[in-house]
Amino acid sequence: MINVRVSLYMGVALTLCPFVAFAQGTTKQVLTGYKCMMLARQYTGDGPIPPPVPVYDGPSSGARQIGVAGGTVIVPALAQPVDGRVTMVRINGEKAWIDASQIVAWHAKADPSATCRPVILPNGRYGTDGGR
Amino acid sequence: MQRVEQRVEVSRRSEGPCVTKLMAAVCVAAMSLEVATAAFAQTSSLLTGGPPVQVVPYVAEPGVPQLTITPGTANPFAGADGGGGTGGGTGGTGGDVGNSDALGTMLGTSWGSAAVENANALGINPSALAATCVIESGCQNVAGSGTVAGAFQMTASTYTAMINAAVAQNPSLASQIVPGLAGQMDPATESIAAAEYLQQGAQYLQNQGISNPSVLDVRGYYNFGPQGGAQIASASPDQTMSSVLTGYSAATLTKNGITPGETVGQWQASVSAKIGNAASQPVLTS
Repeated sequence: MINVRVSLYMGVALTLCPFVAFAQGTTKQVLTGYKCMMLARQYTGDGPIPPPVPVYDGPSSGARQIGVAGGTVIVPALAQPVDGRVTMVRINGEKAWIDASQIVAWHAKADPSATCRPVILPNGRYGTDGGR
Repeated sequence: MQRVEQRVEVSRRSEGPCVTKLMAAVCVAAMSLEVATAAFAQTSSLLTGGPPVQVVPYVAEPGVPQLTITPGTANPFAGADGGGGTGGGTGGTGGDVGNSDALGTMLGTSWGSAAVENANALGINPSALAATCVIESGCQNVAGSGTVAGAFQMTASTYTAMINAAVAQNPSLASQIVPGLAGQMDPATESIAAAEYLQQGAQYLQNQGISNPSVLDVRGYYNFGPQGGAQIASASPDQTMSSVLTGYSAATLTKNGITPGETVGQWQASVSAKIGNAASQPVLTS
């Protein structure tokens, strides 16, 4: 009786497994045409936290601030500054503008051989994938 | 206790081997008929109404102290499954506000219900607040190193800044706090400062484009700063922490408990293991 039950449970579990995996989402979508950059003033884990870097809804000086940047910034691979700002993609996928002077080429201090690739994560966030 | 043992001994002597065989047969039959599966139907002895059910001895045992369990507060989220959300250990968006193992732990303290009210007053998910005290101190009001103290293990300067910000945001809280730094060692008062701290962290992540920060997201923010919090929240689980926290040196990572090659997913799993199903819940309720 117990064996029958265990077999039944295992059968149901095995049947459902592929769907559970699918529901959680495991694939990331590469954001082609974009690259990683990072804030010029990085928090090192010690000392004062650098001031937040604002992001705007446009390139003009009168543009509205819509938030702040994270440590890594996703920009178009061929981004050209407009009035000193470049476009970027926020974690929620929203387009924003950031001062070009605030960002530098991406590199990881503790892992110089690491690389960064912009992706859309399974949870819908716009983020990063890595490698060497 | 001694009396019960004597009874068993007497029974064994008088019943003989046939009865023993009969008892064994009954046990086997019961297991075959799945009477024993009733064990699987036992419900959790935690969470639903404060402390677990206590064994009350009807005969006092000499030398054993009488323990009195101070009841906490009935869990307002009892029955609610707080395990919702799409993230779990992968840093997904916050699920539903609700019950959690951490909340059960906090409500098992004498100050737990006051902390829940404080969390609600500041728009914080009580499970998020509970997860903070669980991970910081096991919800024990203890001293830490330097100026760190209390159930939420806040530094004196952070505590002061946060308690002032909380009262400025919700003046009705002023009547509930223990004034000065003494409040840091009053868990109910420190819970106000901790709730404010959680709120500021979650709002900062929202400013970075994370619409509904989870407890796990905000934990990354607190452990690795505003930049690192966003980097972890938007990283693939298989990325190494050393490649995601771009400003950290190898030495600083080690100092923060990150081992070489540790991935974002592994770090998230280690936090989730400590705070259970609160990890994927949202920090903000409003």
